[in-house]
Amino acid sequence: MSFIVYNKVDNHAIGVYDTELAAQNNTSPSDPTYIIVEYEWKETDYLVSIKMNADGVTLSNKFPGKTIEEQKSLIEIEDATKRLASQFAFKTEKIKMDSADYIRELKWKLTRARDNDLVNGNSDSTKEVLAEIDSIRSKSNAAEVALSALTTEEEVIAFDVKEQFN
Amino acid sequence: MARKLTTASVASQQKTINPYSQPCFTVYSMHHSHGGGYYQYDHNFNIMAADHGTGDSSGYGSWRTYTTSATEFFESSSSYNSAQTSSAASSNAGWIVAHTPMVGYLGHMSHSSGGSGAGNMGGWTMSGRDNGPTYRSYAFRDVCPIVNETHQDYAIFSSAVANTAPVLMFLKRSATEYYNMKHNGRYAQQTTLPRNYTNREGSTENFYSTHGGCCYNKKTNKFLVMYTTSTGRFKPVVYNNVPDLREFSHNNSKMYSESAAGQSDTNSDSSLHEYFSNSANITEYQQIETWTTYNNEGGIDEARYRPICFLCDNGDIVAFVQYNAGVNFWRWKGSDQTHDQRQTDSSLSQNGHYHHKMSWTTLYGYEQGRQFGSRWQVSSDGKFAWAYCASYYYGAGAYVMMVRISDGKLLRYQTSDSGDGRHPFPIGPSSMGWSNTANGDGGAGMRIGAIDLKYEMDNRNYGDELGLDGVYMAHNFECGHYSTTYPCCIPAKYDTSLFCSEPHMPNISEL
Repeated sequence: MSFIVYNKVDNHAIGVYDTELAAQNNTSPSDPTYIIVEYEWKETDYLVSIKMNADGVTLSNKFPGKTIEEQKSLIEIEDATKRLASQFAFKTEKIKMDSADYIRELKWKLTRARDNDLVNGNSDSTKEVLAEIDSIRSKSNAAEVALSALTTEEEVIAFDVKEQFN
Repeated sequence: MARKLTTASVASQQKTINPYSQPCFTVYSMHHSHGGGYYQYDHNFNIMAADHGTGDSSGYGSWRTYTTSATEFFESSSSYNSAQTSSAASSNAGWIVAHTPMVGYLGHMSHSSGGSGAGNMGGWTMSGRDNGPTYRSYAFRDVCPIVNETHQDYAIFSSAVANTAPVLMFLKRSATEYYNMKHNGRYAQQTTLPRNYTNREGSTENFYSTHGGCCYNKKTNKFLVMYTTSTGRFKPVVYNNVPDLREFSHNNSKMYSESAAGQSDTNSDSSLHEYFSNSANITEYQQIETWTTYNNEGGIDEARYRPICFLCDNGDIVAFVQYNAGVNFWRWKGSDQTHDQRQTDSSLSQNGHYHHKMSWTTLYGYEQGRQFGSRWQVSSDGKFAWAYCASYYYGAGAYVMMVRISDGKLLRYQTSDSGDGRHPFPIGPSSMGWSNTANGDGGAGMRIGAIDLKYEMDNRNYGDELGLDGVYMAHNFECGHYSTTYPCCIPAKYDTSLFCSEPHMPNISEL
């Protein structure tokens, strides 16, 4: 039997030890992020494949029956997928944040336009600024569509958000 | 009216500055949309300074992207890995600040260190778009260990590699200055070394040079140069009666800087070059056999061209060599200058070639980018040193070799963490700080602790494992963000002599 130190927050194993004492020596007991779980370690287990079961107290290999090399390859594919998702999430958030910032910067224009319209007795200036704001929203939506069409991590990293609003 | 004379008390000549009150390390985080900051602590774990942004507005101080710039860092996007802490080390490449090899003797690669004169500045990012660390990483790759030095305000660099003569540069303790001197001016603080020595078989040959594969032992006045071959057959050469290289690094040595030759811009025409070229100053050690880390473990450049070496007071040499799935320790005996091939230490996996081996899974060195690979640090008193690298891909986990310089006693550690990096740092006179770049979610902050290496070396057996991950104190060190963030530790560059030298205070590690 082995004892595994496990990071509950980020869901990954950190070390496998022969005794519970050895595992305790490698984790801080006051930190609830890390727990020690007893586990029947097998020669074909790859530590990175060991994950917490739904019961929250036992562990298992997420790639049973696979060789260690096969598990490594599968995890590399998973990691690449995670990195791509993370880059998508960041760029999507950035599009929204930049869009909000650009719109916020037009606030003074809107105030001025309403003042002008009040004096002139029409809504021309306001409509003009609202069209400008709408254009930012359209560019933001178009940017998200363009981003979602990308397929590789390199492409997403290279995606220039600022350029989308020019 | 007679005056009354009083006698003023004589000012104490004891310590004038408490060395423990100096900066020790800074915790840094910046989540790209939620804020962060720098939090600097002293050697007592008391906070000294903080510079924080809440991230809840779009103006200056927000620590996030504002339209076209991350407002604190003049950055066009806060997605750059050298600034943001939204990404774990994991199997990611790039310039992630949480990677284990991001810290070393020269501080942190991406963020400048606070020092004794830094006021309330805990640290600051280098130039943006990941460019700063791309320049500073040369120094982290090339810097050579210095041991038994109480004034750790300089650095020695070995910049040439492979089939060429070693080139040494003696400079300040600054990765940025190294970049400047390496690319803009070489001046007098540089010299080449000879490389024709006797191999294990008794013939002479031209050996290869390495990145950072030297060690200066200030106490014994010896300087180790670790030569290599295309297959990583290491060959140590030790210089004796070495002139004061700290003096030379500060460019104020009378011996060198006042001579016309010493001011030469060339690297082969100086009195320092004369010293290093004089065979009377040299003691050759035995080359290792054809069984090498490069040949027999994993053939990456890091395994043949980048040994981290420590020259101990008894003449023993220990080396930490990383390959593509782990590390080997190598050892030489000072008593007869031979390769130490003993297999008698039960705590170590000696095989008659290497002294110890730790291995796990895929691991990359400087051949994948000069920001990766092995690093080293030394305690403030210079008596303990440690070499380390990641254990998982580019920058997660850690392999560590800790050394007592007086006699070469070793302790070791391995953490097979596929998620987070580890950032060691010197603390107090003889201790090693140890921090984990794990997720601070839930208000855990950065997990940091310290190990008294003097105590541990005295109380453990040769080669024992020392469980570094057992020392963390969660919820004690702010990392600027309640939710997901992977903070890093920036080791400070303080005045180490205050821990060790008169008149500040006695050598407290010996009390």
